[in-house]
Order: sequence, then structure tokens, then C-alpha cells
Amino acid sequence: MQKLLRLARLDFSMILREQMLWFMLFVVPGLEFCLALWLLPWLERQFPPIADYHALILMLMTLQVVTSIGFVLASMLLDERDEQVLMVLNTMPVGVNTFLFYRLGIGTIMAVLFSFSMLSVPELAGLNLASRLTASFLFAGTAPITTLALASFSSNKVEGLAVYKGLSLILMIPAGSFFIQSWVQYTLGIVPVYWTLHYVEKNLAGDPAFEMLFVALLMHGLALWGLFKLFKKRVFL
Amino acid sequence: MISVSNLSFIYPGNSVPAVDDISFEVPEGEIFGFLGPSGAGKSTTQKVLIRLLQGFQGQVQVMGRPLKEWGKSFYNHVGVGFELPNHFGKLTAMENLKFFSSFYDRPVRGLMELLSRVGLENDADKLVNEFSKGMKMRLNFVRAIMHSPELLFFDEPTSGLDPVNARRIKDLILEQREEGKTIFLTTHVMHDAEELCGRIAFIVNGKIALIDSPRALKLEYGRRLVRVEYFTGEAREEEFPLDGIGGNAGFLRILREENVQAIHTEEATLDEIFIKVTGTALQ
Repeated sequence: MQKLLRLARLDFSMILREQMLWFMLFVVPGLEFCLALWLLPWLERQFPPIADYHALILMLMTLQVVTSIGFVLASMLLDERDEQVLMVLNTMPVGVNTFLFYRLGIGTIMAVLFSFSMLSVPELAGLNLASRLTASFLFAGTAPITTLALASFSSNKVEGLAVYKGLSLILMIPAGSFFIQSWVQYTLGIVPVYWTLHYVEKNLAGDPAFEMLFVALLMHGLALWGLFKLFKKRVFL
Repeated sequence: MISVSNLSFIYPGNSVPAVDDISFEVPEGEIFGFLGPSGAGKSTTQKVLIRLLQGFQGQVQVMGRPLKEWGKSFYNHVGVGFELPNHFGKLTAMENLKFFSSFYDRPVRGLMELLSRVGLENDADKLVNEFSKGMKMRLNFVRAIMHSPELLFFDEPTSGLDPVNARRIKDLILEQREEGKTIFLTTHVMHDAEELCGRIAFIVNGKIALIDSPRALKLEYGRRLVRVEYFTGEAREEEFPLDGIGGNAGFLRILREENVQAIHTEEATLDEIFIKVTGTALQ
């Protein structure tokens, strides 16, 4: 445990020493939270039709928060790849897999906390505690997916920023399913976020939607497994 | 300490082996030099020995156990100094060492003392991003030895170092040997190899061309001659057979009567031996 705390402390030192990283890790989620808490209700009062999409907008904002955490971790991994540090970790008793699990794990824990905060705004009061926690974990699963996708498909941080923009758009696409009534909407289910969004939507309507939860876990698991393999292949072969 | 028998390795997608059926032994307490030009197979061999490359052919034993049977605990006994610097640039030198040292299951030596041994005591709290390549290489070295491993691998340990710091590192390598550590040194700097290694192996195109001590090689491939340079209004030089030199009248006359400027024995340099044995220049 002490070792983990030491690693986490050094990780935070690195984040605090780079403006872009602490901005993305603390300022972006803070801003999103403020927008969710104050701006969105205000907008709703000014433009009542927004109320119908309030939950969806909040979910997309939550998604932005977890992807920004994923971006920070990916930037660190890209730096570590450039600096050949991952190679060194492969010659340590802990091994690079353990290090990657730690790194992705700490990001996921942060993402759970941040998601839980976002999903706790009064407008989502329809979610009970269990659903809110489960949804927080599902949203948080997007953070390591973002990290691994960016770290696998970018060769440096500048490229990472470009890929991040593209990935953010891809992750938003499942929101379109709420506007499609036919079976075609299920094709968007290839993006794991689809199942998270629909899980929350059904829970807000009072349906526990266990089948959505199961598929969401499966899709997130598959995406993580595939991206982890890809990342290791890109870095170590 | 290391026993390699018929080791071959082919990188995925290649048909030509990077290492081709090589065998050698490194006893405990020896500094073993692995010399060859770029692309000869030196680093590949080292990567196999430190378990970074799997899927090799042949038998490799390290510290009495087949390499494939070692788990991650292997790295508690092994220190690796890579050819290129590799640290967290946004952490200080001391933070880097503390970070990496937290992974070992054995005590770590005094980090500040080690930093001062390589001349980095005043840079311990400086970000590694602000280090020169030479400073990063010295930090590489400290990281490799900080957990007192029994077996050390160094890849071009003096690369990018000025003569003073190269001397420091070489002294520390010799000190490790005095402490009984075994050292596998990969280099193409013949002078370092000659100074540090008990034995050296020449590797070219993935094959070992020769293994022996630098001294034995220099004598075997050298000319048994003594060359005398002297000055008689103009610079002159003469060569005499080394055998029977004490009774060689011509040699003794020059010593007595001429203004001798230099006397050299004509043993071969490792560079010359390398070219002679492999037909390839070392660069």
C-alpha cells in the first residue's frame, strides 16, 4: 500500500508540473461540474425544450470528464514511451503489466469519483444510489479505454491531442441512438458508451436494466482487453 | 553465472537470425565484454539475457537456473544500464531513483551517496529534463547498481560521457567486480573493453568470431618486435626482435649512444585484431 501511495504521489507530482495535464485533470472536470450544477439549470429555465435532453446532456458531460482523465493518463504513457521508461519497468521485479494496471486503475478510481459527482446533481435524482454507483463505474470504464486508445494510436502528445478530439467525437456518436427509433440504433452499440447511456436512461425510467449492465460490462471488458493487447504490441514489439 | 549454449534469435518478420548459434560462459566475478559493430547482435543477445526478448532457440542459464524458469524475481538480482537514457523527465534525479527503487524487494544503497559517486550530488533535486545526455547516462548507471545486484548488464556505459566522468563510471564498474559482481559489458569502444574486461567476445553478423582475454589476444596477434624512435638531427626509428632483446647489439647501441625519444612493443590493438579476425571494421 505504501508503495502504491508513493507511486501515486510521484504521478501527481508529474501532473502538477505540466500545465496541460493539471488543467485537463482538475480544471476541466471542475468546469463541467459547475456547468452541470448551475449553467444547465439556468439554460433550461431560459429554453424549456432543453429539459427533455437534460439527462443526455449531463451524461455527455460526464463522458467528457472521464475522457479528460483518460487523456491525462495517455499523455503520461506517451511521455513514458518516448522516454523509454516502460522498457526499464520491464526490467524491474514489478513488471510493466503491473505498472500499467496500477496506472489504469488509479485513473479508473478517479473517474469513478468524478462520474459519481457528476451523476449526483439534483437533475439526476431519479437514479438511486446503487444505480448511480453502477453508472459511475460504467462511465469510469471509458477512462482506461481512452488512455489505451490514445496511447496506441498516437506516437506523441501532439498526435495524442488530435486523436483525442477524434475519439471524443466517436464516443459521442451513441448519443445519436436516442434520436433513432429503428433497429439501426443498435449498430451504435459497437461503441461501449452506447450501453452506458442506455443503462442510465432506463434506470432513470425506473427499469434496473440488468441486461444493459451485462452487455455494457462485456463491451467495456472487450474494448479494454483488445486495446491493452494492441498497446503492448505497439510499445514492445 | 551465465551459460549460453547454441543461442539463436530471429526477430518476427525477419528471415536472417540476429543472433546465430552462439555459445559462451561467464563465470562469477568476471567482466565479460561483448564487442561488435552496430547491428552485430550485441544488444539482441543482451536483451535475451535480461528476458526482454522471448522465443529464442538454445539453452540459456543465468545464476544456475534456465532463463525461462525465472520469474519477475530475476530482476532483484540483475541490474541493467541501458545504452540510451531512460528516466521520467518531469521527475528529479532523486525522485526517479526513489520511484524505481520502490519496486525492489531488497534494500537499496544510499541514493545520495551513489549520486555523489557519479558527480550528481548537486543535481539530485533537478528535473531530469534539464540534464545533459552524460548526466542522464550517469543516472542510468546509478539506477542499475542501486539495489546491489549480483549480475550487471551495461550497454555502452561510457556513451556520451566526458573523459572525467567516463573514468568515474569505469572505476565504479571495476569496484563492482571487486565486490564480486559479474558484469556483462556490451560496447564497441575497444579501449573500454581492454581496460575493464577479463575476457572479450567478438560478435559479427550474429556469430561469435573469437573469445579470449584482451592481453592474450594482443600478444597472439601482435608482432614480437620492439620499435625505437630516436633523434640524430632528424627523427629515425628502428625495429628489433623482442626475443633476445637484452643481447641485441644494435638495440643496445641505440640505447647507449642515441637520443632515444620513445620505445614501443608491437602488440596488436584490439581494433586491429577485430579487423583481422572478422574482416570488418568496428564502428
